[in-house]
Amino acid sequence: MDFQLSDDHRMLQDSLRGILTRHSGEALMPALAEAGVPQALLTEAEGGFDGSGAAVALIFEALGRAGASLPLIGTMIGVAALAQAGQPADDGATIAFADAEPGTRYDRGVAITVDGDRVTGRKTMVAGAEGATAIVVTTADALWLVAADAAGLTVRPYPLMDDQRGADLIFDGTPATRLGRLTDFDAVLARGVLAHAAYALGTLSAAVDLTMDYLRTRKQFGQPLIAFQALAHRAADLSVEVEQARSAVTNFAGHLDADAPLRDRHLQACKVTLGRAARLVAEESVQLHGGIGMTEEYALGGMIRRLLAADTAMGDADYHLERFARGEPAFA
Amino acid sequence: MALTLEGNEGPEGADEALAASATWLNNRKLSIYGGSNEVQRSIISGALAKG
Repeated sequence: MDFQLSDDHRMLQDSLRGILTRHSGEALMPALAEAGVPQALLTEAEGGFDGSGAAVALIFEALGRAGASLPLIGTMIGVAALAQAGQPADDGATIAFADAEPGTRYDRGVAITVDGDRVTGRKTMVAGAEGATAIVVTTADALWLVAADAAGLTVRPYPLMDDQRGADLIFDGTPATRLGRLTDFDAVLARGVLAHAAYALGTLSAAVDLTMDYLRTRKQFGQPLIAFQALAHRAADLSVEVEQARSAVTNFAGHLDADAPLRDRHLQACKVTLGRAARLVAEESVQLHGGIGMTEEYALGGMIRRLLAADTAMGDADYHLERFARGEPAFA
Repeated sequence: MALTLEGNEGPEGADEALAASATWLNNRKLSIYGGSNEVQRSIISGALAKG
C-alpha cells in the first residue's frame, strides 16, 4: 500500500488549504466548486476526475480540520449513484442523501415502506434537504430517487448538531424512481462512510491540537498545565488515538476499491476506530480544558458537536462493530 | 453447566484456556521491562510539551 500522496493529490491538498484559509461561511461552497473539489470526489465515469479513496480522504480531512459544515457528502453519494444507475444528474445539481430513520437506530426500511413505485414513511436528519434538487433515499434493500418537489413529500427543516441545515422528510405515497439494489451501490455508499470518517479525523486532530496548545500555554501554580503528570498522560493517550485514527482512515482509503468483503472489513474497522476516537477526544478535550471547554464561544464546542455527529452518520461505532463481529457486509 | 475445577485442570472442554491464562499472566512482565505504561506516557508527553 502506498502512503505517499501523488503529485496531483498534493496540489489538490495545497489549493484546498488555501481556499479554506481565505473563505468561510456562504462564500466557501462557491470557492470549492470553482476549484473543482466536488468533481475530485467523483470518478471519470461519474462526471468527475478522481473519486479515489486518497482524494476523498484528504478532501474531507481538510474540511473537518477547518470546521467547514457542508452538505457535500449527500451530493457526492447522489451524483455517483445516479451516474451508476444511468440517469446522470445535471451539472451543479445538489442532491440530499436520506438514510437515517427515526426510532430505528441504524436499520434501514423500518420507518419507510415501498408500495410499487411509491414510498411512504419517514427519514430524519437529512443534511441539505432544503436546497436540494433531488433526494436519494434508502429503503430496506434498495436506493430510490425522489424529486424535491414530488407530490406527498413534506420537508420539515431544522438546524443539525454539526451546524448544517437538516430536515425530517415525510413521504406519503410519494412517487419515486428505483435506482437499484442497495448492494449494487455499496461502493458509492462506502465512499460516503470514508468521507464521514475522514471528516471526523480532521475534526479530532484540530481538537487535539487546540487542547495541546491550551496545555502548553495555560499556567497554574507557576507551571504550564502540560507539566502536571496527570494531564500530560491523558494528553499522551489522546495523541496516540489521533495516530491510530489516521492509520484507520489511510487503511480504509487504500482498500476503497478492494473486493467487497475485504473493503467492508476495513470500512467497519475504520468507522469503529474513528467513532471511539471521536467520542474519547470529545470527552477528554473538555476535561483537559476545564470550564472554558464547555462554552459555545470557544472553538472546541463546535468541534465536539461535529465529532459526535460524524460518529452517528451512516452507522455508529457500536453498529459497525456488531456487523464486523458477525461477518456481515457493511450494507444490505 | 457445572464446572469441576481441580488443581491445574482447566474448564471442561476448554483445554486451550489453560495455556491462554498462563500466557496472559506471563506477559504482564512485558510492560515492566518495556518501561511501564506511565513511563511511555511521560516520554510521549515530553515530546508533546515541546510542541
